[in-house]
Amino acid sequence: MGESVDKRDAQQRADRIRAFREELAQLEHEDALSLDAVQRATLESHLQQTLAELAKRFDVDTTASQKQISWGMRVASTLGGLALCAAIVLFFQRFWGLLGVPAQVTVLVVTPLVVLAATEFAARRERTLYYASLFSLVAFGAFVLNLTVLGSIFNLTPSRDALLAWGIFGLLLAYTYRLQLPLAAGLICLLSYLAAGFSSWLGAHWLSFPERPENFLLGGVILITVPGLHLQRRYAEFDWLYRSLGLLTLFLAILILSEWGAVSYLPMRQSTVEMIYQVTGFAGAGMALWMGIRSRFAGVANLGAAFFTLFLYLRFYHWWWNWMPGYLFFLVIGLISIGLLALFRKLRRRMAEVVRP
Amino acid sequence: MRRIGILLAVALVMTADIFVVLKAAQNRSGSPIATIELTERELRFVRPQRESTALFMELAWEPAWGRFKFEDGPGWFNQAKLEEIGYDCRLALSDPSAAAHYRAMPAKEAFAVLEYSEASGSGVGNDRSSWSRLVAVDAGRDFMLLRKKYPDTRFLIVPSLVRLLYTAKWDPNTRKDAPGAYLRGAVVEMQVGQVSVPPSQRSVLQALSQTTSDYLAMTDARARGPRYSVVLYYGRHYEPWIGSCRLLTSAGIK
Repeated sequence: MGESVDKRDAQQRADRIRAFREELAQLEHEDALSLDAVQRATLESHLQQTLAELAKRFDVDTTASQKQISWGMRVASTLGGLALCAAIVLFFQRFWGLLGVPAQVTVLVVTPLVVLAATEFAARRERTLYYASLFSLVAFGAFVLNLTVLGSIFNLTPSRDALLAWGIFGLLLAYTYRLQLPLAAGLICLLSYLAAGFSSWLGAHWLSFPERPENFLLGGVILITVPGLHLQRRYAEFDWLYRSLGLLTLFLAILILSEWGAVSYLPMRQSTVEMIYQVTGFAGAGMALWMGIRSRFAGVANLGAAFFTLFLYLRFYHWWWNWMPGYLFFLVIGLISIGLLALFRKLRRRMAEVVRP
Repeated sequence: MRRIGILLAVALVMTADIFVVLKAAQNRSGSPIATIELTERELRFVRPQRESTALFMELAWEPAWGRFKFEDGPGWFNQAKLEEIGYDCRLALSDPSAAAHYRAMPAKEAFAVLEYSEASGSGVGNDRSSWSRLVAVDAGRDFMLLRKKYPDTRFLIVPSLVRLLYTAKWDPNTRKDAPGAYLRGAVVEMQVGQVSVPPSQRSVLQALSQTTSDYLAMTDARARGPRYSVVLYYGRHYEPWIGSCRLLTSAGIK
């Protein structure tokens, strides 16, 4: 565990060394600083040694091109994981009919376990965890297939408990190997489980949970608060995912309710409900923007800005589209966008001031 | 720590699978709570995916989706029945927000009573001859009460999803909703609507080259009638399984 936090720190240190070298070269070019040959050799040897040590212990990216390739590897491992999931599902469907029930059950039970073993094997062999990430996604997909198809074979009534099992499985994979993809998949399942529980508790069928966006509000709030928990501090690299997913859930639910109040549980007129959620949307997005800037959470600030703009444009559409000529409407929208751009620039500058030590 | 995580993940997979298998075994233990023989009209042969070798049958019942008209009225599934199932119908239909309010209501769970009547699809050769002979005649929240009310074996009581429908009068001239509306309910889905064909019965259905929807789309199929019949059981958890399938000699197998 400590090792992985160190790995994050190690990557940050490698990035700082790279930036330091670039800045040093620039300063020398501008004649602002000059090192003598001995100093230069000592410094270069120290930096080289530090980078070599970091690369050896933590497999960090020590150059810009290495970092770019790492991003490509992350994308490739995600796509590969998804493709392998699809391959397992289609392979099973292709041969399902040729197997007896005991063989079907055996294949379904064994598949996620074998892929779990492959994940562990990959994690032991490779410190960067690209293959482990790929296999963890396949293990998650295999477990989803497992419960879905077992339910189909025995004609069982669909149960929301499957969402809970998948969610816990995703979190176990994520926290065991410190992987973000299974964490995202697991959190989406747990959010759905909680929303389905609300739907069921309020008298509707659990599968109707997406029809009432308020079912997701509590789940969104819980996700946002998780990074503040003491236990979560050892897994700080997951914080942005909790915050982003939580905020996205809240804003999407509020956006739908601000446009279509009929799907709310609130015992009020549709127009009143819509107005409440419009105000909540503006306040929430504004607060996210402010908090994001204040606490230096770039993702939170970006989400806040994006939804604030979206809420604003939707209001403009409802207020003006019907009585304004089309060209004038878009002209006004264009001018407002320029105004917003100026406002965000100002905020950006303020953010830079906050970041400056 | 890592070892604990992996062991927990393995334990979770095993526990979930054991739970599912036990649940299925429990459903099928003892004598079935319902046994009924249905034909292709009621249990339709489907293939879920292009490359799939799995075989499924889908339960079909009347009135099927899309066969309602405003003039039909709510029938047995009226506002009182909706309220009995748990829908809040207090908002007056004359209220300007009534349509949006009622149309946003989600589905609820209820037991649907499906009456199987061979004679219900009279008029051989017409469209109706291919309709399902299972007709929804009642719905409720309590299985035992419904079983008491419908003790005959021709009544199948199954867990389903029902929906409240705000039905507005339609003016075909203006192509808009006309004044006048009522609330009615509909059985929209069975909780287990698709039944998998067990490997022991696959050979019977292997002779069929067409799915039911393709077969019934042919004009001569309506005259020939269904191609197979299936004995369907319902267990202790109201979940079905196929007991046996047999081909019907009256229909030429295609």
